[in-house]
Amino acid sequence: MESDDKLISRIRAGDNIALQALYARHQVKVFRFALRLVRNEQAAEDIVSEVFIDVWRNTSHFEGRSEASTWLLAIARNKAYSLLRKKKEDYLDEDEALEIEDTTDNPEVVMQKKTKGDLLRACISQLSAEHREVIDLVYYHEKSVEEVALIVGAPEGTVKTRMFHARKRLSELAQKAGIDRGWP
Amino acid sequence: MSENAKPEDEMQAIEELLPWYAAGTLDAASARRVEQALAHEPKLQASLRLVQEDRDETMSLNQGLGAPSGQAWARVMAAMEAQPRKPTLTMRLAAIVAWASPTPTRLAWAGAAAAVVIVLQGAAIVSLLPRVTGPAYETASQSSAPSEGATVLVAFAPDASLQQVAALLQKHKASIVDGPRSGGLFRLRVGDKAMTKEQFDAIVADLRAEAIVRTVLPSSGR
Repeated sequence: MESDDKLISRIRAGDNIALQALYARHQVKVFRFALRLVRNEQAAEDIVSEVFIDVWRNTSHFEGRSEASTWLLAIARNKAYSLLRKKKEDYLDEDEALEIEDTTDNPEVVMQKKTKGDLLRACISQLSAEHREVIDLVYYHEKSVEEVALIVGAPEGTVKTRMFHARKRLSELAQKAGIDRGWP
Repeated sequence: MSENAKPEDEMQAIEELLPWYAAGTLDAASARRVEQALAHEPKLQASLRLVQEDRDETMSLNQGLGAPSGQAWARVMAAMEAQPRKPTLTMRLAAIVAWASPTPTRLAWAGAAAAVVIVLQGAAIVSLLPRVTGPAYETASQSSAPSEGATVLVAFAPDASLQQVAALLQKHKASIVDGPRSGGLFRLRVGDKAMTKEQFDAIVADLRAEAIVRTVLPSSGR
């Protein structure tokens, strides 16, 4: 299979078939990452389109210092956060918008879910965008500390601390939903 | 653990690394450090079990999210059609080499964009290049035949036109033998008869003086 770097070299030379191959390889993960942040399928799909249109127009911005998937997720994140900020700008400042938790499933509703797995997944979905993204990047996208730092634009130490706080918050939400994890 | 680190600080540092340990994305040294701590700390072992639970549920949550519809790609295609990218000079020359000598390797390198260039512009581009009978445009398939002259590796300036490249080949009685190689280098055969080292050096110097030539290197195929 042709490497992502080679596909990007071909895209740089104007090869649209190479872009199609890169899209086929990464569209699902970019979509899921965006969807978990913006929580709207149409908006997430628009982000996927915009990410690959950016790749077509600005391939020269890819310096090859990281994996292509890291670069794509960073573009997707920027677009998702722009959208989140736009939605919240009328009544929240930027930091507040990113830290707000989803209370659609409040602890009482969460408790009605049946299995421990259901409960935990509901709690993960309740986390703030900032906490959700770090958990997704580490566990689902399998990104290293360095790669997460590149995607979210924060120092590595901050990434580790943020992940720790995300886990702590998840345990608190689980506690409210009736799961005592005995940690922290 | 570093010599000056307090045990509780080291515990916290390991605790923070557990998610990456569980995901298998730690470097070897950090993974060893975590394993050593896990071997002696029941608290860390309990934490790791929770981390693994979080990892499994996060995977399950994401895997249930589906995929974008065909509309997402349709929008990308529309944008590509509205703003087609101009193939680079290297890509266009590669297309000519591939077209003139369509071996599977060459065609694979040149790719679909090259094929599009050929379909649209092939005849016109080839007509700009010197003929085999004169100062030759020669393909790799022809290069296996006994030939005189010498070969050099040349990279052209990215903003050079095909007409300028054709004129340069004619002026120096040169032909493209193969390419592109790493760095956009093409192998050129220069001259049509055996030459001395002085004559070869003079040709290399002349090529280096050309405005549309970025690099000239001796070729092992000489």
